[in-house]
Amino acid sequence: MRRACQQQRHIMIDINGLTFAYTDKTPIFHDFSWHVTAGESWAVIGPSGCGKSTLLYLIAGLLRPRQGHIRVARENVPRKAHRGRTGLILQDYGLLPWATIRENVALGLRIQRFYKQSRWQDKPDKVTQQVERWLQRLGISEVSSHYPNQVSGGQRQRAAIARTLALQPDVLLMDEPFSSLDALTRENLQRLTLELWQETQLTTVLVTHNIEEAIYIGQHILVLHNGINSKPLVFANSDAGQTNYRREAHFLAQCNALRRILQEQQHETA
Amino acid sequence: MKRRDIAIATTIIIVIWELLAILLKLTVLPAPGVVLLTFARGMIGSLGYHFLVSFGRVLASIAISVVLATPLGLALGQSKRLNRLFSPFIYLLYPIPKIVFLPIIILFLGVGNFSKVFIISLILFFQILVVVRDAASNLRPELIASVRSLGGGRRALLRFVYLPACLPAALTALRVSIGTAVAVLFFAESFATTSGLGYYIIVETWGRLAYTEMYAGVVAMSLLGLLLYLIVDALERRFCPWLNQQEQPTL
Repeated sequence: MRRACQQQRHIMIDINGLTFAYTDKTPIFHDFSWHVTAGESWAVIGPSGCGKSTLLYLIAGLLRPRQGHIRVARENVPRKAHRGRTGLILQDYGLLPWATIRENVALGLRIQRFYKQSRWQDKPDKVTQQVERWLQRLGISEVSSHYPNQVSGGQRQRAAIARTLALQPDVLLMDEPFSSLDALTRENLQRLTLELWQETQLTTVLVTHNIEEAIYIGQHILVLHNGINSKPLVFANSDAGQTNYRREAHFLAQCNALRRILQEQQHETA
Repeated sequence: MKRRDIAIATTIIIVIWELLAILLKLTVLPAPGVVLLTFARGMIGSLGYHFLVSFGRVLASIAISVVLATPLGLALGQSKRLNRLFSPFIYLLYPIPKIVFLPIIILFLGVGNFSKVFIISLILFFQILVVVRDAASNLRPELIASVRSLGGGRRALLRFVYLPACLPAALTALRVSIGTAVAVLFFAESFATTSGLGYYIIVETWGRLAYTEMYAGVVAMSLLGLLLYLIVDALERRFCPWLNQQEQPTL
């Protein structure tokens, strides 16, 4: 499946004529169209309340649009045939506090077995193997029998990523995943996100309010603003994707360019 | 709670009781040795029978109330609309001391086991209902969203999120209301019946001025409460292992 995506480079996230508003509020999106090609890494940035998290929830199928269509991997959202293939990582982890890190990482696979949708329905070994693999890759094997409140914030977020990747998603949506972490942990996880993207060529959309994070991760950056978003403003950042990008002079220039765009928008909407 | 600490506390209580009995020398306060001997002998005889009857009534009430209140609490906690519909009734009925319904319940259901189980179930039902509902509705939306993104639908959410989230709350509610349940049982058994510890204490011993046996009955009733407490503890250890984990952040 994933190999096929790579060859064809088809559209992975397809938003057409999206209109969305929370009850009684002015719309956040009106006739908004936006497309993400398979394998791309995107960042979405904008001020608080501009609708960047809302956009992710809409793509994940957790909110329904008023009008318009959202399709992920050519499938209407919410995806019926491939539940759990749109990965979503939230800021506060969403780990089950009563389950160990290992149980949390296995949760998606257990849910598949629960619905008898698992491709390894009769092979629990295979599930264990997959879980161990991702625990190892995310470097949290040592704390796998701990409960979430016994490990650090960074480890919790690693567990959330492992849990999502264990389901072999075709899209990875991240909603300000690192904003409650300290600076070093945040940089480690940003680097890890890039590494994972390079390894899996997974279509990634990361919502952030942090300019450096957007420039570091997103090859394309969608800039949203307060008020009604109708036309996507895309900032090109094609040099992103290398783990040492942060140290290049060009990185800072890009950050400044993006900062200017955000400032201009703030003036316009203010 | 450590077994050793409980044993020490028990010993201290018995010693105080012994001292009081020696000092006061009253027929209405027999020494613990005599009482415990009577208790031990009684437990293989008629006291044991009454103990089992009472124990059975409480267990049945717990089972019935848990089975009825948990799903309803989960449903109310998940659905804002259902909760809006039912919460005025719960608000109204929850604070009423259910014991005052006893005469009515006896009028309708008679004096047998059923009316006793019914009144205790009624008390436990509301306690469990309210805490399960609140535990379910207080779940963080982020948690629900992330489990849904893993492919969890309604049934999976119930199985993997709501149920484990409500279990400790339900057990805590049980623990808190067991005292009330036993007290109500005692009251309900103290008249118009011929079995149970309430009957044994009030009618068979107190009424006949058999004080040693009466004390043995009180010991049996205390043991009943303690036993139920220990059962809830054991259930909690078995089903909520994460509650016993200390927070120890590792970096």
